Amino acid sequence: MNADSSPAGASGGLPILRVLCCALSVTASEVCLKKAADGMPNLMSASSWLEIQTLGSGWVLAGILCYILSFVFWLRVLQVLPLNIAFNLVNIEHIFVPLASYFFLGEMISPIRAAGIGIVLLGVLVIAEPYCRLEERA
Amino acid sequence: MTVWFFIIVILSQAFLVGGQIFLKHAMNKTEEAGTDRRASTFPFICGIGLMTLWFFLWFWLLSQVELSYLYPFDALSPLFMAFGASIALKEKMTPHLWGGILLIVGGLLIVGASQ
Repeated sequence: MNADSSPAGASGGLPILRVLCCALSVTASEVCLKKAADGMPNLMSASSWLEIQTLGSGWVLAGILCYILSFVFWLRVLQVLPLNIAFNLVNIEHIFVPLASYFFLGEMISPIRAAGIGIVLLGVLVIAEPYCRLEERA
Repeated sequence: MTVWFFIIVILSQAFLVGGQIFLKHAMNKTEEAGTDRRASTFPFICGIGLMTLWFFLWFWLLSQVELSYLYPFDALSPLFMAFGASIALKEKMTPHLWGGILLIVGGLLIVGASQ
């Protein structure tokens, strides 16, 4: 596919796997950092400073590693998609994060929040749809 | 909230958009055949630098106000990105893209309001 023939000047088809890997690794990073934050003592109390090594705990390290991984995938997405499309497709993380919070952290999703997540998903699908149609034709 | 607060929010969004534009510019340079590495290193460093500034500014804003108050401003970033990328990178904006961006912004504002 030629760069000019694709919607908004993308240089290839939709790199669904890279976009998903980027969004999923951001989600994993958020969950790990939340787990780490929940397990940390109250840093305002004097005795808790002795426990500050929990900052180097497994959850924090896992969160940082996932964040670095997401940045690598993000750069790979930027290599093939225009910034406008890449930035908005990766917004799918706003769907994955609440779902992961529900499944892994036991947080509740209110009906209003679920409606907002549904509208974000619709927006991502509207942006992705022309690329999916091009891939079907190819 | 003071005028300064809004100026700092806009500045943080400008750092975010600027950082992403520099990163995209660096990635475009690496794609160009025969380009020497230094051509993509400079925009890459600028991108990382601006993203770092955005991170610390956003972190400071989070310490000043509640997340539910700040979240709607973050939800506007797809709109800022659309204007930034179309002006700085000459990316084409299609009706599909505008429609998708408005839906995402609307959805994120509702998620923010539900906090």
